[in-house]
Amino acid sequence: MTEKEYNECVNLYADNVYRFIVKNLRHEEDARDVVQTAFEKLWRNREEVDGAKSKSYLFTVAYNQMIDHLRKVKRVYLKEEFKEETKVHDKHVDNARAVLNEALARLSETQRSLVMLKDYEGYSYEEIGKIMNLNESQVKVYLHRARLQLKEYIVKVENVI
Amino acid sequence: MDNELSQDQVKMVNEFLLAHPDLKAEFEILMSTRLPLEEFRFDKNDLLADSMKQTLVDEELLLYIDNELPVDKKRTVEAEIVSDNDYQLQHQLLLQTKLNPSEIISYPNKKELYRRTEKVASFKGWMRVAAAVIVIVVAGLFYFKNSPHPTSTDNSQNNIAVEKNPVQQNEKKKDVPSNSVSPSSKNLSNDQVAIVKSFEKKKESIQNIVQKKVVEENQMTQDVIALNNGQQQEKEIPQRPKVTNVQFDGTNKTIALVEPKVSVNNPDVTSSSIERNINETATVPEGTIASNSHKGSIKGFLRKATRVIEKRTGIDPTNQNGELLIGAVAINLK
Repeated sequence: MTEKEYNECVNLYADNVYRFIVKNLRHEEDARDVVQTAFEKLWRNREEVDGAKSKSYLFTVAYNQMIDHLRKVKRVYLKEEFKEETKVHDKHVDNARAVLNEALARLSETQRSLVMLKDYEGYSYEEIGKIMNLNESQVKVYLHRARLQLKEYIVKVENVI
Repeated sequence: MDNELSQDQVKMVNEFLLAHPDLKAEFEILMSTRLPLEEFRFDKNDLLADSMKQTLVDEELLLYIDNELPVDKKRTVEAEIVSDNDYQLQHQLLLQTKLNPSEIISYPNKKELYRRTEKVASFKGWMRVAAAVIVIVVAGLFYFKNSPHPTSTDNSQNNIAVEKNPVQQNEKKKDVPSNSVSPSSKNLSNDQVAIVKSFEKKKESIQNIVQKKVVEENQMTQDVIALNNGQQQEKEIPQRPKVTNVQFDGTNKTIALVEPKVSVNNPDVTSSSIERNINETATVPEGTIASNSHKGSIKGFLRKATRVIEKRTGIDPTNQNGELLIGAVAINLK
């Protein structure tokens, strides 16, 4: 990969990688650090990285970096499970996108990453598996579970409203 | 305990326990280690045909949404969605779980991610040698150009020798006609002789002015002494006579002390000419001054050259000690 190709990668994929990370971490500064590290790594290994595979390389590095970051920081998340008693009716949800984001925030990091890589970036199960170090069947099962959880949440909210 | 004994054997064990009641407690402890029976029920509803069908529908629709179905299967699902309302409703619900890829979150400062490689000029061995040769040649030329000519140093030495005995020189001047300025003037051209003459005239005029000034100052001090008649003032005033004592007779001290006044009063006399006289009559050995100035000029030149090279190429040609590296030679610039 040449310097020009690298800078083109910055142009094309910086926003995508940032969106992927910031939606997962929900912390702008940390997300920025992760993206910066990912591009730093791409720059250092530009000789070995094929220009055509630079996007998936970036997402792979960013995802691993994000997981490392989460392990290191060990932030306390008030993780709420999708249970019957989940109180969703207290919140006034303006539109479907907000509801969906709310539901997305309640998924685990793995499930959220799967949904985002599929919907935002349009990767196939196989490509997602390579990025997240999972096999294709795992991707399929985890993603389907995530979608069903999202659907369940949306349906509940809509029923309440 | 594990129910592995026959009825006769069980009977024998019971009789043995009755005969030895002290072992009964141990036997009960062993019996208490048996796990109690628990009942577990598996929810079979998940395995019923309807649930399986629902799961299959969801899976098909999810694969369809994720665009992971083969073409023929995809067509079948599309047809099903159109024909079956429940299927369509389920599809609509699952579609709502899909994120909108048009949502954009821009990275705050992309400029920090861009990279620019700076090309480093690589100097080969012969280029370094060539550069060293050029620097040495230029430095040599500069040195020889700025160093005083050997003949001129001889002349200056002669001048110093002459200045050391100015009284004798004056006496000689009276005797010797004006054409014969100095013994070496025979070898000089007319222009040079004219310059020497004018220089001597200026010198005489300076001497006259200096003498006048000294006399005036003597008179002034005498007047002051006469007026005050104080011992203290007499003590203060004698500081001046240092100048008066040194009447102009061609000695070095007089010129050095009265120099500023001369330059002010006489516009013909330039400071450079006086400086030259001072330099010529200085008691410091000539060789040391000359060598110091040359060293300074060479180092100055090398420093300038270093700066120019650094500006042009962006490479610092000095090492950590601030020494200039020319080939294998390190020159201290400080």
